[in-house]
Amino acid sequence: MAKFHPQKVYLIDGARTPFGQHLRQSTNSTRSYSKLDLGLLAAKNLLLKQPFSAVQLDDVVIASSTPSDNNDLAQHLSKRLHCKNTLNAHTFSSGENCGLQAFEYAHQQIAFQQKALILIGGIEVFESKAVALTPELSQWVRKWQSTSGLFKKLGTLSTLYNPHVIHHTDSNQQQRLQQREIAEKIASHFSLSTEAMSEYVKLSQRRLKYAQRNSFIKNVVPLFYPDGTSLHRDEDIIHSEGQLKQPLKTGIPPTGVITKTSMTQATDGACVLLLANQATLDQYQLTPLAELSAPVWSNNDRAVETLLKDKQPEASEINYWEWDETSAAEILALEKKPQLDTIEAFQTLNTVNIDGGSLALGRPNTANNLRCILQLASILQRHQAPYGVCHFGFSSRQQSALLLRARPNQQETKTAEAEGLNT
Amino acid sequence: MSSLKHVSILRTKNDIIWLSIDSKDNEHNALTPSLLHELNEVISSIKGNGFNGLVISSAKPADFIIGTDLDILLNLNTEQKAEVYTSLGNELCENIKQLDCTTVALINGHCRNSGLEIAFCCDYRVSHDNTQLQFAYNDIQQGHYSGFGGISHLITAYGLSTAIEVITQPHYSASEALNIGLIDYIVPLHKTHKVAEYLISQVKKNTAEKPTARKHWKHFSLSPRPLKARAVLKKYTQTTINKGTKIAINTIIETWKIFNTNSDARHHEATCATQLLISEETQRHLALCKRYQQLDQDIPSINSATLSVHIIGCGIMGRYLVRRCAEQGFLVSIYDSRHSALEKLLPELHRYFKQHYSDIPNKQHAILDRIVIDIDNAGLIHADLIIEATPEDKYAKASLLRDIDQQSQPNAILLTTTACLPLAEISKEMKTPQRLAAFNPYHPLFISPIAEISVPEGNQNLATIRAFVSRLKFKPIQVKSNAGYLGTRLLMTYLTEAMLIHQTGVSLQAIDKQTQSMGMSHAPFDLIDSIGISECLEVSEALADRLGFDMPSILMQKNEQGLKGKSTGSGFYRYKKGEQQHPLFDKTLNAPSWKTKSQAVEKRLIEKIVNEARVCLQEELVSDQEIIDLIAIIVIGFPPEKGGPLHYLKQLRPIKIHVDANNE
Repeated sequence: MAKFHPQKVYLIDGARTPFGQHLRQSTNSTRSYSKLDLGLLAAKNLLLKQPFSAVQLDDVVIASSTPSDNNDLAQHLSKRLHCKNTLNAHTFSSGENCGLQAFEYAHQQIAFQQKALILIGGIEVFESKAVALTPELSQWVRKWQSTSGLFKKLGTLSTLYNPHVIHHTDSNQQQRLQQREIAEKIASHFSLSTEAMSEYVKLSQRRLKYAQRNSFIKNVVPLFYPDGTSLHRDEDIIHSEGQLKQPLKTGIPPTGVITKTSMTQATDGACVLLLANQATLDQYQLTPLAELSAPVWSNNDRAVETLLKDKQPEASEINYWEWDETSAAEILALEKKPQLDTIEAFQTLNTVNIDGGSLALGRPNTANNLRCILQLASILQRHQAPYGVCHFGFSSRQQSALLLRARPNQQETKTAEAEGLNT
Repeated sequence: MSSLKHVSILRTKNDIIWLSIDSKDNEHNALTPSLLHELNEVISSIKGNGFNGLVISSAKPADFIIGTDLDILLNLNTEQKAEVYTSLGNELCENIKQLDCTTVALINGHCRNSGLEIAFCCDYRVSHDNTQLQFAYNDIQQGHYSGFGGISHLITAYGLSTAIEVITQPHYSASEALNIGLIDYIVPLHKTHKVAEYLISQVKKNTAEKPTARKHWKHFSLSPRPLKARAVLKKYTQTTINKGTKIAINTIIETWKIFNTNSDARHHEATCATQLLISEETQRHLALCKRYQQLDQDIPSINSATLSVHIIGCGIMGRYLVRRCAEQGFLVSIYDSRHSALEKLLPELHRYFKQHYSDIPNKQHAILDRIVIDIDNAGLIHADLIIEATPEDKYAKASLLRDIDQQSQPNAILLTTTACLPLAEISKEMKTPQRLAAFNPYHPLFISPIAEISVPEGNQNLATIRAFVSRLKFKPIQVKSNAGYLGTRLLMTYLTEAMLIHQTGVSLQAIDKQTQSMGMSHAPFDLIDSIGISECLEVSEALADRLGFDMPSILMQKNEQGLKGKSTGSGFYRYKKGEQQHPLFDKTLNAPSWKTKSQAVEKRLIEKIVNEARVCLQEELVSDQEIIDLIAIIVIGFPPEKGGPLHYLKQLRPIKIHVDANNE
């Protein structure tokens, strides 16, 4: 029996909406875009550029960590894209790391399950509810409805008190608080100053502006709104110098080291990628952006080491890094961490997040994960570099990393194959 | 009753007769004499047999009864034939009305003209909740009505003015019909039969408690009838409906004036209908309708899923086509180099949705999902059909088409929406010029049901293009490629002449008013302002260069002054919040000489159009003259009762010869 080889997974193309906090509508007069709308816009534009249509997709995988009314995003999306009827789409909708889980699932589907073409997307939209109905409040409402008569009603009214209405922090806020505390811990452990961190944020923003100005950031699908306006590029989330120094509330007692801008800010956004196997590439004569490895997980800060131990390239051979930063402290701590000592890139940060990272761009969780992969692939292509590593960290201290192998390497193997044939 | 061909009847156990109409002569359940005979036979056999109820429905999936068959109407050209037919229908309606059991019309498809009248004779009308379903009385637009007595019934139920408003409306959806009381219930398809049974069981056997027996109060009026008749008549002579319709409405009002809601009204209605039907105008109109129907016969249908469309240019035409394509299920992408043009697309679509699909979010999604706004022109490479819809600039179009030719797939179909530039001129830089075909659905303002296509020799895609155009619900007309093609050429003749007349000192308002009283459906200056002055100028220049048309200097002056038409608030007229502003005192209109002058204006306009139409015929732009007549009526709004410019010319000729003979 022949030995089973997993198929190689390629990134064909990707598209994303601009990221921003006011993405869903430009004015209040029109209906705001939902998660589904944002995902559709990106996916439609992405598929338009391809020689195949939505019918050829084998699977649609959507990840979204924020809560929403629509629980079956992937199924609705595939239906509205007019995918084939037999397609069973998958939605990953809980946990901070669901974006990467979805990616790993899609990767496995191609590598081991013989799927040929998969659309994977991450969509985040923050819907802020004015008053959330707590269990206590809903109980009170039931009581109110059951009573009759003015005095009884007044009596019931008097039992309503403040904590009924005020909703406690939801899971997202808790996550954010956790992230801040981690950042604070890192900052104090490696004695990073507020100034150093805000310097790095400025650098990140400058890199993003430079990339935008030179149109390095491709694959951004502009949003057109029903009121006749449009949004073509990522929204600036850092407006003023004052924001850089404004301290942020962390755990008790707050130290004031962490400022609003030295933490990534949650924004809205959607990003979709097309993954395929070798057979699809041959069938449509496509040039992939990069070959993707399966993500490697680690619970003890050693994702990069695990990744590079398993795979061929040495740490020094990696040309570019895309670090999914949650705080400036996390990046600045890289050069001081003993286990990453050997990696030269982290001493200067010259090859890390060179087109600006989520500090400047905002961080719609799952969409940002996929954006990192897409951005790194386009950086590799722009610089004709063979290797890149994407690293993701989560507030549960879980980490993940994956390796991108760009086109040049493949050309080499092809020429090598051709030479082999000639001889 | 032994051999029923078009009708099937079924008696259920609760003594209800289910009458199902399935005409074998045509696929739309259009009425024919044999069908009417059978219906009459069935109704009279039911009468007096003590049944509980009668339910009339159709066995065709899409239509209830759509009125009288066009061929039959064309055949009723003598008074005797028409009278026999009309009285047959009149008798049927009266019989249904006089039945001693409850009658229900189960409307499961389009219900038009005499179908509406038959349905209205029933006690109840139940429609199913299909959004596509239409109620309409189109016959009145062609200057006649069926004379089955239904209009008298309508007047009894609604009063005169509402009844006429009902029949002059283009069409109603089921919910609109429910609102005005044309139907009684809308129910889901699977419940219609149950509802009919329920309604019949509610009305007790042989009692006078039928819903139609309820006293209608609306036709009672305090004002004297002649006064009211005059008021209604005035209302309809002032609006811009065509002459034939006006005559038809006039006869309805006359009938009402004499008989009110008397039972004899239906007899008079039948007599009037006969007279209207055999009149030459109506017959001519019907003949054109027949020709119009034949336009898209034998065009194979096309599967919209197999064709992806890419549109370049997001102007008025581009946006119009995007919407039409997406509505018909094509996957369509639109590109424009100006983002500001693309930004206009969504607001326009949402405005359209508000008007048409306000309560159907799924339909809105379905249309929006098929549209991709493409800022990178990425759709061009893989599209099967590419439509170029940029402004009328010869050089810009030529170079754009050259690029499209290079970048697109070699077997993709190329269409250009040029309205005035000949194909040969704009395709000369292309490597394969025969690929390019012209497709002109006219300005969206016209909501034209016709589109011109021009396909050069050696183009393999004619069948696909015709199928595509007809899928977009346009009737394709093949025109030889030349400057202005056909519709634009005739239209510009008319508009240019109107502007030249204006330059001689006749006021705008006077000309617009005169054209309306002539029966033209578009007033020239109103039209120019709506299309846009600079657009008109472009076309006008193109035609002046190639065909030697006159070029009115006023158009250039207006353009230079920056008066671009309705969109900017002023063109020939001024506009305030989109509404035309008129001067209080008009010199020309109030001058005593205007009465004689107006005839000269009318003659000049008509002559110009007729001459141009004759030139078009001589140049063999289209296969036959009736198409020129059709386009003149539909696009430039030539009075339909004149039967189109060429038909009008034919009518004039014998008189001229006659005069000549007398002189000799």
